Amino acid sequence: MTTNAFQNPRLRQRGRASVDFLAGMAIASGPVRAEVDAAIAQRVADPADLPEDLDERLAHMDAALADVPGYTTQKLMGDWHGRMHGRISAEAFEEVQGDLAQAFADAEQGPATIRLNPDIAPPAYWDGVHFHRTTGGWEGHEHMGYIHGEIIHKKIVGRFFPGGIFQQRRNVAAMAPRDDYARILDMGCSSGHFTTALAEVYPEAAITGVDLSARMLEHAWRTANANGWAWDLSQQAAEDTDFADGVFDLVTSYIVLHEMPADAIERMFAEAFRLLEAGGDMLMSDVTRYADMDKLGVWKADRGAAFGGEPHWRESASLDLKAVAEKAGFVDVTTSGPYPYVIQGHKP
Amino acid sequence: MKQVDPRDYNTPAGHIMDERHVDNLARAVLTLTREVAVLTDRMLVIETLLEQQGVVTSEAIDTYQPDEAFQKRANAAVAAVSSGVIAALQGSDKD
Repeated sequence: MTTNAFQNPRLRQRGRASVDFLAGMAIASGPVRAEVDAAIAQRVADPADLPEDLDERLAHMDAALADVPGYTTQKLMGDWHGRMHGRISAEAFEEVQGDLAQAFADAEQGPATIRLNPDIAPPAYWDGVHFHRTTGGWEGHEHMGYIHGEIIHKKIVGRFFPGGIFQQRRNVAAMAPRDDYARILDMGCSSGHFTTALAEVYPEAAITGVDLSARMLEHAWRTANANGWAWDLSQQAAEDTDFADGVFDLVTSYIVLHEMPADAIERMFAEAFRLLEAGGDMLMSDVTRYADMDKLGVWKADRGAAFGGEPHWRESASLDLKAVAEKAGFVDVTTSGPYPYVIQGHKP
Repeated sequence: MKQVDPRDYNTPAGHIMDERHVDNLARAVLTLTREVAVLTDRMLVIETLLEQQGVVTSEAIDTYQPDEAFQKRANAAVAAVSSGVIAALQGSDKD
């Protein structure tokens, strides 16, 4: 993991203990998960018999587990985590904001560029949505990019991914078929985590990132400056950019598709095709496809999405991305998974 | 007029919480558990600093960065608090 004075902050006691508590709650809830899993094993003899319709399946499982105390506890803990993780992380940031003042000032000098669009008309699928139930949404705090990128992801989410979420990103970045890309676009770059992986895997490439969130882009910009990376960042929808045709030789996205409805995803693949030069490559990734899980697995993912601030997950995870990529014009389309689900294609 | 026993007013009967408020109460339990966890950690920091330096300041407590041994102790202490609350919510703390 890249570290410098700007990133991965030393939290003060209350914030540090609070994020430790959030992570520890998941570990301490082992007996709850065990009770729920045992009840499911007893009451769902064959997942194939579960209702086909996903809303009916949610209702069916809620009814089947209604008398299982662990299920109620699990719902409570999930809801509390959803409500509180953003607030706790913002509070932890505010405790160290003064400590970081010089690092922030320093990170505003450097080789990266940022182009924000205060007149942007964000799409309805994004505007006002508090993705991941982050309090206030991506624009809900002046430094939400830092809170999301450095505290929520690095100090909470990262603990639950064996091997680390950043190694996972580097592994995906390295899956592109060439190692000599010169101009890479990261669609939906957010606070710059996958963009960082791209910079590390392809150090000679010029890297461009787009995202709808100004607050996330600001963090990506400071991150790039703090590391000496000359990223070119701009606030625009990945499915409708202002770049000229054929200006990139690799177009990527990392697990952003489930935050978009099907029509926007189709337009994003079409935009990726437009922006690639002939012979360029596409490398996208996302969550496990519903088609690759049994009905029980889909229920777990779908329930997590419904209560985890993921309004587009169901529609997106139900989409056949290989067909979408081929419809956009890509050839030699390959997929791998289950998580992250990676789709690659080539522009002839 | 209905005759009332004025002593009923000492502890008036009344239904307070409906289903929605029970959910809020449960969330409040977890919010308080967080505060207990923070204070448990803070107490361990104070103990550690006193052992090491014999004196503590608020700034030293706030900026203390755990080493592996401290983190292990803190995790165990907070896990004991969290596990007890979770077991009570789950109803698995029966004799």
